[in-house]
Amino acid sequence: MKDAERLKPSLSQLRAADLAHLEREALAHAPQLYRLAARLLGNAAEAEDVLQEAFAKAISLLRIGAYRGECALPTWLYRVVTNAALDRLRSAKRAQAAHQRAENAATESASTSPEAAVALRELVEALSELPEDQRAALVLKEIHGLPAREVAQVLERSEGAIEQLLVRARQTLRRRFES
Amino acid sequence: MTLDEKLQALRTATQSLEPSAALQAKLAATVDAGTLASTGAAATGAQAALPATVKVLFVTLVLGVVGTAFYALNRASFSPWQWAGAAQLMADAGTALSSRQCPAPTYVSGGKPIPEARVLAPWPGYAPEERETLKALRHELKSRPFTCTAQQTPLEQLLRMHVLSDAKETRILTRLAYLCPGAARPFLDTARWNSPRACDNSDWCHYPSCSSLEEESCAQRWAELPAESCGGQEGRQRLSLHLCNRLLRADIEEAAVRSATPDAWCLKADVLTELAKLREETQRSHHVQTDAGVVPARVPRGGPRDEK
Repeated sequence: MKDAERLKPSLSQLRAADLAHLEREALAHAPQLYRLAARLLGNAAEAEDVLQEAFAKAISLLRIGAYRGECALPTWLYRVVTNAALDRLRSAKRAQAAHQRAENAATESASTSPEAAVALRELVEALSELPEDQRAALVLKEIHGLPAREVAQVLERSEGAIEQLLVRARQTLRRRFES
Repeated sequence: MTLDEKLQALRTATQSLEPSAALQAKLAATVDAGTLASTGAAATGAQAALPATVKVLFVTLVLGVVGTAFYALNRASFSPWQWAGAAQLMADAGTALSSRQCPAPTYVSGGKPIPEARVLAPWPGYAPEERETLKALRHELKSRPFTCTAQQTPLEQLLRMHVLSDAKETRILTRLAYLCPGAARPFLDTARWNSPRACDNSDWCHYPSCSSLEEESCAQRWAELPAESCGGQEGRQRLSLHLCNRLLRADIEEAAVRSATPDAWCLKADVLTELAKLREETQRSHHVQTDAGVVPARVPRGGPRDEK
């Protein structure tokens, strides 16, 4: 009995250590999360804003034990950030500035050729016009390279639904580029 | 270029995107704050070692005190339909208390204690959407498995999870800080502090019931707040002080500034009561007497705000 009682603080400390570990791991994923937010929002500055808010929320959720390990921590973090970015996109004000954002975000890479830069700009603009769920699925799968199963976990949909979203997104993009 | 080639190019370009050093520092600061809280979680673990009977007795005692206070405070002013709502609120509070097994913090309004549940209760003058927000918050407080920590009450944990950026939520935030500056302080410090908006602009100055004079004074204070001190102790104190001043309006702002010390940047409950009286006097006189002397009264646009 005494042994068990002595163990209790140790278990609490263990939990605190686990939490600290999770938080450090979350911090290590910040660059990927930033890239995800940047691609979903199409604007670097706005991505920083959203990531900061989403990160604070994620840490709060970790602290109250809301992450229970049903999926990998990066997947869970992707979900928090994706939801925050999509919430931001839903704002009517932000939607009005979508075209402006697309313009801004396309010229990020200095190493791309002029032709590639134009193509990138077109693609970023086309992405910004996709429905939110299609855009999120496409960015997670094609830009971040997540397997369909993880994309499904992030967006809380079935794998079949994700495949459909991807097919539709690609169709829309192809139609746009062909025209 | 084919679509796949374009996607490949975008993938490559994306890899070169990096968050700014400033953002990374802010994220690291968020984690540091989380580590502090986890120490609190460890303390909670030790608390959990208390015998179950003690916990039950404690919860019963707290519920009794809160219930009595609630009854005493509201007997005179509640109509029957309000009593029904209040009963539900108390039930909610009871569930939340029993599930987290820790005492509710003492919130104060007009110098009197009120139960935690009433902090999230709709207040006269709230718009329908504000009431909806409060309802959702109450539900969430009841349904989420919050654990008490040394630093945060469940209510504060709940509110911290929400990014309070909309005007309706700012109103609720204001309500909390007004009720009990001490209890709301950690929430105010952290939830808002983590937003770059707290440092970058003076959004908070555009408060619905602020007079133009107040907004001007507020904007001036924002301009005076050095960006580099935003994360530091000095910046925190100044911002917190500023927020308190906002809550208490311009007629008492000067007094608050003069009486502020690092440990007492927010006004105590008894001072709040005094200030409520002062506000009433403001309507009758152009000058008010405060503990810091006589200061000119500035009657706000649309008349004085009364959130009680």
